[in-house]
Amino acid sequence: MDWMAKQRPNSTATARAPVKPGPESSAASSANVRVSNGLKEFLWLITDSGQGKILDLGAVFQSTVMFFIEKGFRLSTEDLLRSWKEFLLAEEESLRNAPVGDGNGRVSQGMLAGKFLDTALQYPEDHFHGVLAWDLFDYLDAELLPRVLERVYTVMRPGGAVLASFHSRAPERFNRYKVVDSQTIELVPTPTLAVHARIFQNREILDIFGKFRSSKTFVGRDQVREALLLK
Amino acid sequence: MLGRNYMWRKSEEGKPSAPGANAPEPAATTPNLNPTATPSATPAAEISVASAPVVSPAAPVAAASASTTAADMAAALSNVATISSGLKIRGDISGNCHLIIEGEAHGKIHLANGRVTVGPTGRVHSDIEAPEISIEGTVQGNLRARDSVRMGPTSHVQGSVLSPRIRIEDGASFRGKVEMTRPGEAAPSSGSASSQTPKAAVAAGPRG
Repeated sequence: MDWMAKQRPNSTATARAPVKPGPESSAASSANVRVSNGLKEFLWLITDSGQGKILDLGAVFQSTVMFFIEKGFRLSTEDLLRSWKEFLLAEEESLRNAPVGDGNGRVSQGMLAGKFLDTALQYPEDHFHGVLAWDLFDYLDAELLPRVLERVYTVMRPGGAVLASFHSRAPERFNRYKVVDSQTIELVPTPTLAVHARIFQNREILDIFGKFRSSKTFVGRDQVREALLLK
Repeated sequence: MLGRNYMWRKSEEGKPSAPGANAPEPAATTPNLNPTATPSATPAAEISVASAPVVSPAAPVAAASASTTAADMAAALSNVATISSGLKIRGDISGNCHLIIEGEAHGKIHLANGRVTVGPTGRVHSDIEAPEISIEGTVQGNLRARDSVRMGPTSHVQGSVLSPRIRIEDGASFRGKVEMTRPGEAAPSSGSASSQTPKAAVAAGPRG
């Protein structure tokens, strides 16, 4: 699929008009919902894929699953932050139970990241048309982040899109995200799964997604940036 | 090659609004357990208890034979078999009654009629196929339901889910693929692409 060649129907103007909230965003009056122009654009990009495959790297929610399935997509979900936390707890337990002097005393973060990805994000190459990653990449440890991005790039089809969010300041609480409609997402406060690792400058976001061929950033009123990147 | 953003300069006005965004979610309803349904082709359950005999089932897991009448079937469905906490079962399970798993099951579970419930302490390490499946515990395997699948807030599921109705409650942990079938549609047989867990899918496809 060649996104670069994709034309919007009835498109006459070349200048990009600002994205206006549609009627679907009327639910965005509550404090826990936000308009996601990134999601709107993401959906537009992957619509051509028909029975496209979507990978959601956040928590599973009924509304998100139904939203994509009703649009004809096939959805896979893998809560990466939760898996990472469970993996670290299991490793810690394993180390605690290991005999003293077993030689397993110190394991580097890089080794842990590699071991984690031996079982996580196991999908065929060029498989997904779209990847959702709200509140994920800026929560990952510096050793894990590049490995995860490399794996995400690998499992995406050429022309596929990844939608990720990045905080502009340290978040006050930890949220999971559920899709309400095509441009509204709901923030669900949950117990902290991972500590916010760092704030990425715009330039740094472009750098970590260096292998992707195009990008677009949306800044919300809450100063959360949504980055949409194409493979 | 970031920076080639000319593709974005397309008019927004032509951007189609996503259809079906406001479509109501199908509710997870109680399935109609048809007592007159044809009994399972499996004549008897294959249960091998590794550690201890099953002590608490209200009815045997293998409740129906090929010659079961409709009345017998209705009676079977009124019964519930339980794999209690502390029990570990290895081997396939099939039958026509409801099944509650509070212990551990290693082996395929296939109920032609009835509901499979994996309780909070239950662990299943294989596929489950039944008209209705409700998970509160842990399942590593694929779920195929003719009517509905429900994943409760304490559930941990790793595998594919194939059902016409899927109910996922907040707090559920799920890793795998979701596909929906039409109500009453028979789930594909084992080995189809949709039955692959992420791990299995890797084995089927190239990996770099």
